[in-house]
Amino acid sequence: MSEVIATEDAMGQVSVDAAVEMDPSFEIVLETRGVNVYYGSNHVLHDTSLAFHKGEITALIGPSGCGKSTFLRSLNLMNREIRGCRVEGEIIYDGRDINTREENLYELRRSIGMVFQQPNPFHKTIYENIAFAPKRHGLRGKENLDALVEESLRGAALWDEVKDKLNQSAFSLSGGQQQRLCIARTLAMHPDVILFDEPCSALDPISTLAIEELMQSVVKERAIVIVTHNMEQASRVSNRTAFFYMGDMVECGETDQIFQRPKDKRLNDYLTGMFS
Amino acid sequence: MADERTATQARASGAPRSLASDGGHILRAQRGDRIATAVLTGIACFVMLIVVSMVAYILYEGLSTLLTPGFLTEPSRSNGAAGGVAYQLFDSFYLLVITLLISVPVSLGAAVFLTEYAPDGPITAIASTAIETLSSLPSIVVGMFGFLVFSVNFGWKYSIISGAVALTMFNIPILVRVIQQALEDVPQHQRDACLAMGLTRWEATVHVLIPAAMPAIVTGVVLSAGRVFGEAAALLFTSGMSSPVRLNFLTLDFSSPTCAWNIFRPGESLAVHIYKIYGEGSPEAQHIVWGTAALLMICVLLFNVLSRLAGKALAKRMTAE
Repeated sequence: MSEVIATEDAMGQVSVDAAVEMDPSFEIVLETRGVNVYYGSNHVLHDTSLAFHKGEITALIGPSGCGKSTFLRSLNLMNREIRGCRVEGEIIYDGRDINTREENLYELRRSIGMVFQQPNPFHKTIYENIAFAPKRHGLRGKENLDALVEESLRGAALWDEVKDKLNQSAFSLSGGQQQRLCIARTLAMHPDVILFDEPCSALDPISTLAIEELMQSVVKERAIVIVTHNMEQASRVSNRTAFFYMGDMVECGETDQIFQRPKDKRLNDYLTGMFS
Repeated sequence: MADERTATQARASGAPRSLASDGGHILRAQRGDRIATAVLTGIACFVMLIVVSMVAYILYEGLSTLLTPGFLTEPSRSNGAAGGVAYQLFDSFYLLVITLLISVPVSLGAAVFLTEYAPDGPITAIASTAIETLSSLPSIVVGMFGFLVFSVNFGWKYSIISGAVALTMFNIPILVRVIQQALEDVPQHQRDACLAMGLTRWEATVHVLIPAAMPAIVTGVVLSAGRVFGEAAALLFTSGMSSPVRLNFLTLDFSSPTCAWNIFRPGESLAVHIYKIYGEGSPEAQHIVWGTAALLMICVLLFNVLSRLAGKALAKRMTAE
C-alpha cells in the first residue's frame, strides 16, 4: 500500500484529490444501467452498471478478453459499427437513454469522443486533422477555425511543438505527438466525455507520461474513461477503477481502495499476478 | 557458427536433444536453401530474358519505321500499307479517355459500395461473382456483345462510343478489383477515427478513405489504361477497323463524320491497325506493322512507368512532406 503511494510521490504526480472525490454532489455525466453486449449469440458482457462523473478519470482494468474494451465501445455506440454486435440496456447521457434506434449517432459522438490504441491521425496536414471534423459539422470562417485549432493544440500540450508546421503532414510527427494530435482533434469537438482505449500501449514511457498528464489537465470539465492494461497507469491517473473479469464488472470503487483493499478474490488474484 | 546458433535455437524452443545435436538435417536444410535460391534466381532471370528479348526484337524491327519522319504525324495511305499512324494513335488515346471517363466513376461507385456499404450477404456475393465472371470473359466475346447491343440495337454502328463502352465493360471488373483492394488496405482505424468524431460513412469515404487510397487507385487506373490501350479484340466489331480518311481536329461540329471529336464516327486503335494490315502481306505493310507494334509497346511501358511514378509521388505528398 505504502509502496504505491511512494511511487506516485516520486513521480511528482497527484492522482487523487480526496476532498473532491468525497463530494457526493459530483455530477454524473454518463451512466449505464444493466448493459449487456452480444456478438451474435456470444454473450460477452453481463449486466454492467457504472456511472461516470464530471472531473473524474475512471479506469477499466482486467485481463484480455474480459469485456472492458467492448464496454468502452458501447458508450459511444461504436459497437453499432460491428456486424452482429448487439447492445442491450440503458446508457444514460444528458438525461436520456442513448441506446435507442432514434439516437442521432453523429450528434452523440461529438459529445462523447474517443481516442484509440493506435495513433490514427488522418492523411492530412496537422491543421486539417483538427479543423476537418468541425468544418464538416458546420464551423465556418478562417478566424474561428484558426482559433479552434490553436485552442485544441494548446489543450493537448502540442501547440509549441507544431505551431510552425501546421501545414505539414500529421505523419511527420512522432507516435506520441500523433496521439496528442488525436486528443487535440477530439478536444476540438468540446466533448463531455472522452473514451480512451489503451491510448499508450503503442507509446514509449515518456510519451505515455505526457498523455497521462494531458488526461489530468483536460478532465476538469468532463468525464474520462480509460481502458488500460497497465496497472501502474491505472493507479497513477484514475480516480475510480472498475475491474472486469470474464464479461462481468466484478468490482468498482475508488482507485486506492481497488488497488490496496480489493474486496473480490478475483481482483485480488489479478492484482497479485495470479493470472493476467 | 551458424550451425551452432541454429542448434541453440532448436534447444531453446524445446526441440528434442537428439534433433538438435544431429548436424545432418541442418546441412540438408542449408543445401536445400541454396538449391532453392539458385532455381528461383534462374526462373527470375529466364522471365527477364523473355521480356528483354521481346522488347529488343520489336524495337529492332520497328524502331527504324517508328523514327521515320511523319510516321507519328501523318495519316495512313493506301489502306494502311503506306503513310503514318497519326489517326490510329489519336483514336487509341481518344478511346482510352472516353473509356476511363465512363469506367472510373462507375468502378469507384461499385467499389465503395462493396467495401464500405454492402453488408456481407447474398447481394455482395452475387455482385463479386458477377465482377469476377466479367473479368474472365474473353474480350472477343465482350466485343461481340458490344457489337450486337451498342452497334446494332442502339444503332451506334461502328463508332468510338461503341468501342469505348465495350472497353468499359472489359475495364470495370479490373478497376473495381483494384479500387476495392486499395480501400480495403486503408487501415480500419481511419474509419473508426471518422465515425468516432461523428462523421457519416459517406463523409469518411469521400474525405478520408478515398484520399488515403488515392495513390493505389491512381496506380491501378493507369495500369488498367495500359491494358485498355493495347486491346484489339473487343474493338474489332465495335469501333471498327478504319478511321475516316481525313479527320478534322479544328471543327467542333460533333455531327460531322470527319470531326475528330465526334464519338459516333468509326475509329481504329493501334492494336486493331496491326491486326488489319498484318494480313496485307506486302513488305511496306510489314514495316508499318512493326513500327506500330513498337509504338504500342512503348506507350504501354510508359503507362506502367507513369503509374508507379504517379502513385509514389501521391503517396509521398500525403504521408510526409
